[in-house]
Amino acid sequence: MSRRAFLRSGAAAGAATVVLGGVATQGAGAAPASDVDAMVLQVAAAAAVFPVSFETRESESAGARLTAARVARARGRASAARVAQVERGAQLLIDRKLGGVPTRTLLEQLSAIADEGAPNDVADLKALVAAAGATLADRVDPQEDLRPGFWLRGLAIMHERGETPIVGG
Amino acid sequence: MGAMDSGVRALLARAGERVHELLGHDENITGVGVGFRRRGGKLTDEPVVTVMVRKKRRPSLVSRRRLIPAAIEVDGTLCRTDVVQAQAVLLNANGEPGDLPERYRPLLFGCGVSNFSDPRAEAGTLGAIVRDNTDGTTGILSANHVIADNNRAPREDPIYQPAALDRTREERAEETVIGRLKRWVRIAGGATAVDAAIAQVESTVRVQRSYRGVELEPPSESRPAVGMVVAGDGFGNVWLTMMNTTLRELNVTLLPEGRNVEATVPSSMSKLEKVGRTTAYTAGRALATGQSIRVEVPGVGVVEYTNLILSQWLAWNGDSGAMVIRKGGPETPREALEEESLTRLRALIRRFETCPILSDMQFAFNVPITEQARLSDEVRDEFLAQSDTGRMLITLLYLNTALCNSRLERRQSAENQAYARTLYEHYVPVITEVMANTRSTTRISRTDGENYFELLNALQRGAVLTSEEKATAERLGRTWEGTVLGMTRAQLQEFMNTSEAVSSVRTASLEMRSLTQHGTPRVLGAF
Repeated sequence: MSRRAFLRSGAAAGAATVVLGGVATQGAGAAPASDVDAMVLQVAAAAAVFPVSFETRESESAGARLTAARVARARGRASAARVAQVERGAQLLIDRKLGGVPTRTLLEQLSAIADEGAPNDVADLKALVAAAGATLADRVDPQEDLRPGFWLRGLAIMHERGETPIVGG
Repeated sequence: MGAMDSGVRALLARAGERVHELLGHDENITGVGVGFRRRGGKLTDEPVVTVMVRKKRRPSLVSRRRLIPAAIEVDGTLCRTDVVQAQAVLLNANGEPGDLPERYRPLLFGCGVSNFSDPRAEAGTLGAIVRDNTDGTTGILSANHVIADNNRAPREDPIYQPAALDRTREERAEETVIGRLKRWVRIAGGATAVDAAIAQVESTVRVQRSYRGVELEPPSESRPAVGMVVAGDGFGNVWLTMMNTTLRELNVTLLPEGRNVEATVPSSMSKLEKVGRTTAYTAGRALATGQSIRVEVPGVGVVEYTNLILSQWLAWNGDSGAMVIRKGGPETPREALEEESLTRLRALIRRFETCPILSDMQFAFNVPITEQARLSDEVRDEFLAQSDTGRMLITLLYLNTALCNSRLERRQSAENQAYARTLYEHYVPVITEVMANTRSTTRISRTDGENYFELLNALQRGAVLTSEEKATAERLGRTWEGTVLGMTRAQLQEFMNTSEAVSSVRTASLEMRSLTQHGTPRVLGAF
């Protein structure tokens, strides 16, 4: 199976399932439409369980909100330029072979890129994190940079300090 | 460390009251609360009565009379105590300078007075000009502990204005006598709702016809007198006795005669104003009524003062006896006076030490926040001190220093530290900019709101807030987030002066049952 096909077959949803306690989180037929969407879901799953979380105020559990439909809705709320930035951010992670990796690994790598990555890459990652946040919560604006910036900066600081982000807690 | 059982908490609270009864007069004790024992700098699971002291000494260096007992018995149960050094500062009453120490002829209410026989050079406030209903003569009204020395002064004792503490070198004591002590409501062991005395004005001393105050018009139907300043805790809390009860018990009438006394307790959050010897004109609010506190009265012992009105930042040492008036509506604008009041309060608050939890925050969250001590002072003095809500928060912080310190004893998780660092990096420049300009156009954004809620999550995760406290703070945030969104510094300050804001923050603080709401009450004479 090619990497792209692997992602399209719902590996990202599988990653989300792992980190959220083994409960299947996606509705039937809700596989991500693209590897970019899959990566948005994967980052959203990380954002849902990393202790420094997005305040979502959603009544449904985070697991129930990790759906392809919500990714599509978040994308629909972003401008074309922002969507392009999200895609670049996702591609950056895909190129580093982070599709489908456990959340802990993803957070570690995000932590390193946020700390040491080129400013353009970090900007693209912010867009990706914003899309992930918007997937988790309708309150989060996918165009916004500040809150994704806080989230990534927290990871960057941990990397600076030689600390490994934990999952949950 | 688990939450404390409510029955245990209630028992310890009663034990705390006993400690207060036994040792409340000790000036080293700044407060009594309920918490968990700290051992070797760490919190344990043992519920205790926490006794806060200004300076902690080894028991061998403390006289037996002042020694805090290791345990207090309540209903046959021994409740252990834990003595902690609280960093809050009670202002030194010795030589407390006043804003209205001068000689006032004709006499004006609000100026400083004292009596002859008090062995200490003292100062309190001339509360009001009254008519003695028993003989129709004119008198002055003040607190018993100001002009009758807690029942100890003899009748006919000379009353001074300026107060003995404020007398200049050029002034001879006999030249400052304005009257003679006439009668007082006796403060006895047990309980009292009144701490008041009157003195007959000397025939040679003029009393202005309008009986106005130093900076204030006399009370009227639209601005009735509601109370008299009697006690405070040095953290901003101030207690007033009811004026109607005081006048009735002394059998006097407030002058000029008219419907100028509130017949009932003022409604919650009513705006109050007073003029007093130390802090001159200040304005505040009635936060609660029907309060009872235990006060150590020199020469009498512990007395329960009852049916009191609680206010904050309305008075300080030397303001005892001051008449408190319920503020009128917009028909009595006092912008200039209120500006002065704010300036005085700011000066008073500035004398408190820098935020006493910065170093603990630095340790727990690994952010260099002690480097921002000056900014922290600025936020306290130039922003929080400017509103009723802000001053309430200042009071709560200093009162609960020990609690905060204990919750910040442990290093936070790496995640919480990193999160704190992101907030620090973002908000220090923002706050610096906002504090540099009172008309800053920086507005509260949605992100700021979300950060507030995320911060609460982090604080609960790090055991700095209990889940109940977090829920309360969340409710408060949800109530007001729509209102404060988009506000500038000036607008937020204005909002924090509204009854609604004060009331909701007070309610939230009362719901947070671990918080100490007041320190040890003391009468507010300056000596």
